[in-house]
Amino acid sequence: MKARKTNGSNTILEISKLSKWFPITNAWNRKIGDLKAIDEVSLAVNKGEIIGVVGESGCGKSTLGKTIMGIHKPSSGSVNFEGEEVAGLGPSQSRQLRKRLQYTYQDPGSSLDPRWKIGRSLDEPLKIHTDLSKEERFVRVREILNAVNLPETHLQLYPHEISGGQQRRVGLARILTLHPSLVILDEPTSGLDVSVQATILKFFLDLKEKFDLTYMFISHDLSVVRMMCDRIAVMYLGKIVELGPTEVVFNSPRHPYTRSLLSAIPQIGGERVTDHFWLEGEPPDPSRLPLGCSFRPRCPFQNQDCAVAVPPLVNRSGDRWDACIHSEKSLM
Amino acid sequence: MGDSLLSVENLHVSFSTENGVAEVLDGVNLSIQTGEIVGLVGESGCGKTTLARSILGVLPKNSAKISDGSIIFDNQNLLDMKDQDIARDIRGRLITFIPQDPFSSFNPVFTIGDQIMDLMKWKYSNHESPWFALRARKKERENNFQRVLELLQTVQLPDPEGILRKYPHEVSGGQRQRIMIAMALLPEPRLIIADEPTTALDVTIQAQILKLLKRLARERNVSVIFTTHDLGAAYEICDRVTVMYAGQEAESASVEKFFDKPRHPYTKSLLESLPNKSGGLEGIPGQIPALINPPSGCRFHPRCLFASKDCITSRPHVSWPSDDHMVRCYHPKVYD
Amino acid sequence: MFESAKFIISKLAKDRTSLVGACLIAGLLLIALFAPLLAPYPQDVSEFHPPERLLGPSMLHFFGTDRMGSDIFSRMLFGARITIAIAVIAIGVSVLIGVPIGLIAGYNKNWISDGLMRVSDIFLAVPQIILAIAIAQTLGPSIENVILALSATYWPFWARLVYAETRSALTETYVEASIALGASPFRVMVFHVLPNISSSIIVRTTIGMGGTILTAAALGFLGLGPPAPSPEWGRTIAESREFLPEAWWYATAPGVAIFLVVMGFNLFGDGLRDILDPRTRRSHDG
Repeated sequence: MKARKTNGSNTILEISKLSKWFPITNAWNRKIGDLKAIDEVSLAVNKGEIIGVVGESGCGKSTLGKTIMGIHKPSSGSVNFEGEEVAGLGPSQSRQLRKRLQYTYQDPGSSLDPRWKIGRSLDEPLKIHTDLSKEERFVRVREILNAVNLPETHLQLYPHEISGGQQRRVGLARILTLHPSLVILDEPTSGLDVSVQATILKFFLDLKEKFDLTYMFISHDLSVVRMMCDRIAVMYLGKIVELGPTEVVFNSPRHPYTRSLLSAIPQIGGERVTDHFWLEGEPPDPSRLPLGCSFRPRCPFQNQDCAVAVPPLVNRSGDRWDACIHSEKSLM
Repeated sequence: MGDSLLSVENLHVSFSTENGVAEVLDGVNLSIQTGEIVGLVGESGCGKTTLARSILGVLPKNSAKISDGSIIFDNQNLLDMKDQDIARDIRGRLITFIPQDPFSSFNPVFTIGDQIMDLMKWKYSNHESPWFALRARKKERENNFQRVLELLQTVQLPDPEGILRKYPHEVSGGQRQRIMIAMALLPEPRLIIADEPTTALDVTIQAQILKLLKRLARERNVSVIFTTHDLGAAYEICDRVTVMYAGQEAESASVEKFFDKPRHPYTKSLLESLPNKSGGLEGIPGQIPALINPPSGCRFHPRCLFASKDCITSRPHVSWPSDDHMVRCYHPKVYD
Repeated sequence: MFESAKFIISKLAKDRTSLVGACLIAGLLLIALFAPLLAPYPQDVSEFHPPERLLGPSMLHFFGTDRMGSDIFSRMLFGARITIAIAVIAIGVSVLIGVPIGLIAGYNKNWISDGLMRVSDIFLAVPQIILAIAIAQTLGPSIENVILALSATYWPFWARLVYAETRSALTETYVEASIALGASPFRVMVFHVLPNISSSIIVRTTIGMGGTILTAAALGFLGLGPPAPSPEWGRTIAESREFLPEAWWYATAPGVAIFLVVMGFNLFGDGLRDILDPRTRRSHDG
């Protein structure tokens, strides 16, 4: 199942029925079930867009990012990046292919080796992937430092000697040395103070312009996603339940989960969420999902049809997709 | 301030660290009335957590020092008490606590029930029967147990008896937070200090917890001090909001006035830097200062567009543009 | 290094017990190095003077003479050389074998890793003394065989330590990040994991020195080490047995020497561990 291309631009990343299941073992190390962290996820990312992947804890968005990167090996399905199939290949096997597909970590400081000077950390990807001489590598590193607004003196410092914000920029700089085309940003604003957040987001947009990047923006912060992303994919318990242009989805969400999710966001100056929030209970144990639609136990619109089968992600109109069999009925 | 339930006056707290002494609270004032929900908002390092912990009396003994100020609860200065037993009676009974991370408040090797019943013994023992009055003690235990079950039902936990038999790791974050709310209500407190209670929760669970907390506080006429860095959450449940910056309180107003007509430049910039529909990305230039050698006078002056000489030399005094609106600034915004 | 050498040294200097340990170790090294110069009777390592046997301590002979009339003090000084040689080489070999095995076992999650750890378990199950006796019986007593026996039984300690530390280091985000960037397993192990676990290895090595010296002395005492007339400390104690308690200086000198050296390494190792152990160390972020 392929998403339609928009604007005639190329599809840079295509995920087809991607699954990652983690075995659950009991005390005797025998397998008693599977945790379906992501389950048959299909998605097409267009070159130059910023696509947001949102959801709450346990929805699988982080696993999705890591599986695409090859940090987790997929249980099934395909990941097609720039025309090449990369699923199932370990990171070192697919080194060449993955050079242009990069990933940022939630905690930027911890992604840098604390015993390595920053200059060395920035040099590493070039050493691994290119045949450039030491001088040539240094030129590239210097270029990147400029692009992220860090002084050359930082090359001699250790990660713990610079601030969190600068560590973040170093982490990004390291990725950019390879001139990637797609960058997966995993919770890039979590833990940031509000006043700093805006600066970082502007920085991301800047880099996107400069380096002609495509972003997959994984986040649980919906307000940020609304500002940054062209399209969003909403995930629940390992599946995409809604997909479409950001503003359209925010203004008229179709899937009941999306509706509850969006209605939970406080809107300063507007009506209070706590006055009319209706979603109750919590997501079920992911290793014991209900039959049919996983949202069914909490959904106010469900009926017995919902228990029959897992609703597929269907293209209803334009660029909108949702996985609810009742979404087309009025009054939704 | 009149008949406040709790009044913090000119509180100065410092922490000694490897690199020097950090002035974490610089003469902070706060007051809260009975039945009010007050939000304490601010970014990292603003001192909201330290203020909460000062009230609770749980500052790290070796490094924290309260150099000045008073915390007056029900006309008694908690910092001053010669009889620390009275202070202990108040803290934990009349003033209770909901922490940010409910998981680490539980001992992982005991069931939730064990831990709650244990707490009951010294938080809420109505009658201390002597050890040999076995039947009386049994009755007490049953009463306590019933009360716990009732409270767990009040916080909308399904199957309270089952929950009591579980271990902390077997219960979800949202459920643990509900248990913490129940435990905070156990001794029938007058004031609950909720320290970032929803920060670690998903947004839909946050909405549920905020709804619950708001309802219970109103029903039982309990005051709440709600610290958070999430302004949206503060908007949801607070009657009044106080914003802090780098250990100083900047502004305090009713929730409508705070969000609609903020007067302090920091408040204004903070609200403007929130992600909003119009898509503008306005941060506040500069960084939150270190508290070891903080900026003089008004600590926000290095980042403030309106800073003048006065702002550097001395801390702005308190002014009251209207009855329920306090601001500490030499150049507050004026609304006509 | 993450913590600069300056920082470590300044921290060590503040801790009195480590200073004592460091002094003892330094003393040992100096003695070993300058033995020919310091010893009043350097020739007594091999010569003997029966008429002067079993004399008590005096100004001429600080620690008295032994059963062959040789000056015990001088022999002790030369014995330090043997002790150091055995300890350093035995530990060096153990580390060179154990660390790579631990790294490889830690990185892989398959039969290779299980196999290597089982092999190390087998070696761990052999008591050092018994193995040393067996080797000495078959190959004859000598320094080389003591070193052989020690290394063969000591390398599993490092293998296990490195295995556990590697496993834990592999869960660190920066290691994951390097792998995601395309780093080969070799690069990850040698340049990322190894430097980050080096402090554990160093601490274990230092503390292990003390134990090694003690075991080497024990082997010497049993006659498995370098044969007469070697001034090895353990052997000297064995020789002294038949002359006790009258010639008390004969056993006391080597005994005290062993004690001081082992304690020196232990104290220093402890101090080092307190500084380098990430759990006890306070972070000093900028």
